[in-house]
Amino acid sequence: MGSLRGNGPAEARLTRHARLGETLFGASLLGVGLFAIFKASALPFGSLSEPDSGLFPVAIAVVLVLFSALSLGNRERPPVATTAERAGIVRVLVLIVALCAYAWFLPRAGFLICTVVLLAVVLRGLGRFGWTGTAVSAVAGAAGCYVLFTRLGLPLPAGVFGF
Amino acid sequence: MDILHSLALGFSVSLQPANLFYCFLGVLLGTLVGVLPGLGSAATIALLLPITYHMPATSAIIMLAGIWYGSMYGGSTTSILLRLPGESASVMTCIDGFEMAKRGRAGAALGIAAFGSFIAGTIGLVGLVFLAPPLSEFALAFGPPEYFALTFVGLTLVSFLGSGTWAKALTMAAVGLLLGIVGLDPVRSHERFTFGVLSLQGGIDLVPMVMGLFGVSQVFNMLERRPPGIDEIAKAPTRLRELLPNRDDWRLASGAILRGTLVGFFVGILPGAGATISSYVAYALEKRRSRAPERFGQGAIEGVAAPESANNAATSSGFIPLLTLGLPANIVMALMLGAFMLHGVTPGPTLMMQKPDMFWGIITSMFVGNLMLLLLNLPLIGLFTPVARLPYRYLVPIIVVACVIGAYGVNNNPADLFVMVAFGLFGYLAEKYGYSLAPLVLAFVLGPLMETSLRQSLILSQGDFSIFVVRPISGALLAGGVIFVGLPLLRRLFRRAPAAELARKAGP
Repeated sequence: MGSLRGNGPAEARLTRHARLGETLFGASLLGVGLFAIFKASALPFGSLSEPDSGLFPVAIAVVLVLFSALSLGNRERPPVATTAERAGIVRVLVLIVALCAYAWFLPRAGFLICTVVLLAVVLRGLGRFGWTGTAVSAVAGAAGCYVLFTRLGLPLPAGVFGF
Repeated sequence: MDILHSLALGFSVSLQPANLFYCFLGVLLGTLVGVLPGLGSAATIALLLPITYHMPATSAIIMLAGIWYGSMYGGSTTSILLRLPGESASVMTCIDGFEMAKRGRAGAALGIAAFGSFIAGTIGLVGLVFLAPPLSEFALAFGPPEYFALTFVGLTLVSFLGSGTWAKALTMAAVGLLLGIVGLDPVRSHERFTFGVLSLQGGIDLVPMVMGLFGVSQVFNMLERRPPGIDEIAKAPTRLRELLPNRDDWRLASGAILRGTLVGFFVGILPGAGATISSYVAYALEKRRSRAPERFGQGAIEGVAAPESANNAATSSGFIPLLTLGLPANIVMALMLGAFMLHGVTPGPTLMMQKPDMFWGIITSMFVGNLMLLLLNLPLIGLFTPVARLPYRYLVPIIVVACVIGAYGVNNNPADLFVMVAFGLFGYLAEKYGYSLAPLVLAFVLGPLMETSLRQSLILSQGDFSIFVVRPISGALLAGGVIFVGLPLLRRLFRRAPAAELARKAGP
């Protein structure tokens, strides 16, 4: 069956995964729309001649529900087959965690330390650079950005090693 | 005479050394970004928005505009030499451009792309110079119903002209409008969708949002998949003489350049269409009216000249709706609007009168920038090509750091970094599943104007929706939108019916 369409079993699985992802994404947009209707209906609606805060949000939320439902139902073509391997998804997750940690620690530890660590994760962990290259580029990059942007008038949190 | 005065005023601003420098910086960055396949002009402008905060407003816009039209020049180089379109507007150029390069005519292709871009960009600017003043005056008569009609038709067109299915595009437009609602109601100051979070009262900030949508999501995308291999590389011409098209080339291409310019100019004004669609239309037009259409795809020089001219003319005319109506026609213009707002300037019909130095300074800087690009591109093409082959692992750290500094820098608020990551993830998933981001960003930017004009119109008309139809300008706009969207839909419906019939008959 699969070979008739030129799809190997692996490819078929990928397409199935992509389809599932697409459905989940569309369904969550639909959910956002329903939730928005619920939240917006609590706002004062006014009347058509005296519209208040609620009119536009309710209207837009209804539009969102309508079109997200249509997008869910309308699937003529399979979504772009993504060649996502497990390693790729892990790399994405690593960066998400690193960025969130960065946001959390930035006001506490300062720009220099945070950026050196973030760059180290990106260069070494995601880019497979050697240790020396990582250390040199991370420190130089963070310090360079700090000097450049504070000179440009952008106050970056100095933290412990500020200069 | 009036126009000459205005142009003189404009050049007195754009030829100031500082502005020349920013213009040069913009077009240089734009060329580099145009060459890089991973990073688009929208992402770059988003990344640089926070830095421009500390620059004079006019210089900031001059530089950002330079990135936009500069990227159109850069995109052609890698399309021709590597068959790698650095920008979506250069996809059509790959077809005949790379064929020409394989046949040893890379120089002529690159040359005609650069000259075509220059000619089209300049003619487009002349059109902008002559069209903008009367349009600004015309727009002064617009009331709330007209602005509602404009935003409504604009968003609808964006969704229908953009990539992906229209249902998904309209879904994204609705998401963008909802995101624009977050914060205090502009009229009565009720809190909406803030969930009690204090920092949401002022609404979601554009900069961390676009940093996430275009910067971080792009990085996720790069990390997820292995970069595509580049199998064939045409040799970059090293001498300037090789880049000059010969007389035959000019004979074939000059008509294509002019037609491409016209197509690009008019398509570029339309909301959502912009440079990419204009390059498709120009290519298709050239192929259709050619006496030897079979040459297309085999290295026809018109196939390079037409789309490259069209995308540059479109970048010039894309400024018309923003500068005269205050309405962005595409993502890049939405970001430009953000840049204006960062400096406390609202572009629109009054801009030309209130800030003529800024208005004409920006427009004339684009004449200067186009000339710089021509001079920059011809001799330096060989230098730019290796940039396209820069592996992602060098690019990722640069984009990541630029994103965090940019998103943090607008308000010095670390919470904006979380906003950025959230939108990064959202944008990454959305693109993956075929939901395009353009309608979302435009809707987010246009939403507040759309809502206020709707509410004011309804108060004016005492709840009667016919106000949008009976007023001549808004009625005409809505009718135009209906025709534009309706005709292709109808045609598709009627065409599909017989096809389905046939399929049923042919089936078992």
